[in-house]
Amino acid sequence: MSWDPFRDNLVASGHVTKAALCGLDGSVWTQSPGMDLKQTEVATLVSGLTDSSVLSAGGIHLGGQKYIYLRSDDTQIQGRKGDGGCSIAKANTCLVIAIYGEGVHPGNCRSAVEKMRDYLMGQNY
Amino acid sequence: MFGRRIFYEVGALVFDIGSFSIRAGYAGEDMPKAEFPSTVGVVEDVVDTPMQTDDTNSSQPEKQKSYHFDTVNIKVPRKGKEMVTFLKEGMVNDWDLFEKVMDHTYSKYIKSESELHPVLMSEPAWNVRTNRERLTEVMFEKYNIPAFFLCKNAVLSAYPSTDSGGFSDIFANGRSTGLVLDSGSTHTTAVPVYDGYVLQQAIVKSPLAGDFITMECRKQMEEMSIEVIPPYMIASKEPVQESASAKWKKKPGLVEVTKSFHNYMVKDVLQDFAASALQVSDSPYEQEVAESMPTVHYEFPNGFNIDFAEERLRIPEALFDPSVIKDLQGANSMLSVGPVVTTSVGMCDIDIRPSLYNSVIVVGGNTLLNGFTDRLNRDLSTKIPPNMKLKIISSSVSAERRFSSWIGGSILASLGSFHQMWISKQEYEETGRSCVEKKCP
Repeated sequence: MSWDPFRDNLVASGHVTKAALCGLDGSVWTQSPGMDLKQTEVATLVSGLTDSSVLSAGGIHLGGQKYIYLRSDDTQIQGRKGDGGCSIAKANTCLVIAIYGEGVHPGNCRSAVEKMRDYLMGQNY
Repeated sequence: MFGRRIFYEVGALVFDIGSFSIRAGYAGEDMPKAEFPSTVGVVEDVVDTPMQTDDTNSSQPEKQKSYHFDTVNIKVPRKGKEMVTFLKEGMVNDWDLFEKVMDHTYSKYIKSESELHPVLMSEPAWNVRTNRERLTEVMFEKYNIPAFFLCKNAVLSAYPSTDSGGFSDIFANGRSTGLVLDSGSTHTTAVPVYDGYVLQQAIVKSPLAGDFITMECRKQMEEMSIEVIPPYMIASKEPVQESASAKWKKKPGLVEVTKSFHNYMVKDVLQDFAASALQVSDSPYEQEVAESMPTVHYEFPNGFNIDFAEERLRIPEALFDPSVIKDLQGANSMLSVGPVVTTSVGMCDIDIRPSLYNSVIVVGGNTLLNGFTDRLNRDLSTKIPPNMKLKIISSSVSAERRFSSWIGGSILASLGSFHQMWISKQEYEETGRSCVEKKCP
């Protein structure tokens, strides 16, 4: 199946500029054009959920862009860069990754991401 | 649409809850409408309810608590009055008492219906999820407020303080980066704020703060055999020579007060002493230098008066060098003010460290000690990497430093963009209390 509709659905919320779904093994299931996520970046995020020290010292890297790490727990990571930022949530088998731009309230982006995550978990992903 | 217009017209309320005092008022104003102690006097009265034969519950005498708020009221001696606070580590811990305090705030100061005003409330940067959710629930369920936003007090302090060119600029971008050093009554904390968001993992706390200084003053008085008599015990006093024993008369018929009340009143005297007599040394403490400092004359409420000399510098020195503290276990593991800052910055992303050092925002009542910021400046400038520029930002107006987080809240809650941030009642009803974790960073 194609994961693109999930990605597009997130962007359509208006609170997300670019979105991706990635497996916990680092594989990219779908991503917005121009996002250029790398498998190593995703793997770092997955390990960052259990040990955030690498993120707090080195930042969050998505498609070669660096975001300053704000906070996380074992289910979510939040980052910030200039006027925008990123929000990441973990489902059972995948990560929901979203980037937002200027003018978006980070709380609204995070709500959209976690709503998608909750839906995916309901579908056993 | 109509609902939103009401919000704009009546205005949001800003509540800033600190471990020393609570600040409350309307968003958009320069100063809070009220500031009153976070300490509440609670008296448990045994009330004999009049016999009412038709009410089965009233045959037993009931225990009823009465609550005393506000600076003047809590200082009135009453039999059995315990001085209590609803906070622990800056977080709400006693929810019944918290509600009593909120009831008092609405009825005495706000004097308007709680359901008309959106609320912005401050919280400590280390507040925990369960606490935040319960607070959200209480505000929506009990006070029926139309909208709510919870914001870290460090972020609020960074709002008015960062060098962004005044109100209009803040209005335009509404963001700020800096290291907020807050030394209040219970802790000294360093909280890095990046672009208006707290970097949670890099918060550093130390117990070396206002209450600690008061405790050290108390030890000093004991050492000098000075008995601190709070004003509530004193009926009259006569002027006496310096260092001579005080001539004062005890108030007749004083009610039996609790230990917590007496201690609170003694602490009040010691806080006044600290504010008027103590001086932070501008370089590391040396006894010889301290002894050559001009002395300060201080008169206690009972008329006893004496000059203070090297004590003036030695007591606050502990904030900057805990090794001077006598007989205190674990003193070496306590972080002094300078290292609180450097440790916190050291845990942040290397890319943002220069901008944190370039805006160290000093707030909190304990930083009003004479010489505090000068010493901090000195200690930090010797410790930070040479390629970084240190800039310490502190308001010279003491009220602004004490109310910085309230003022920040007042600015934030009056921004046009604020209504995108808050949790509306509808949103709360749809998603429940967990929404606070997502909406309020």
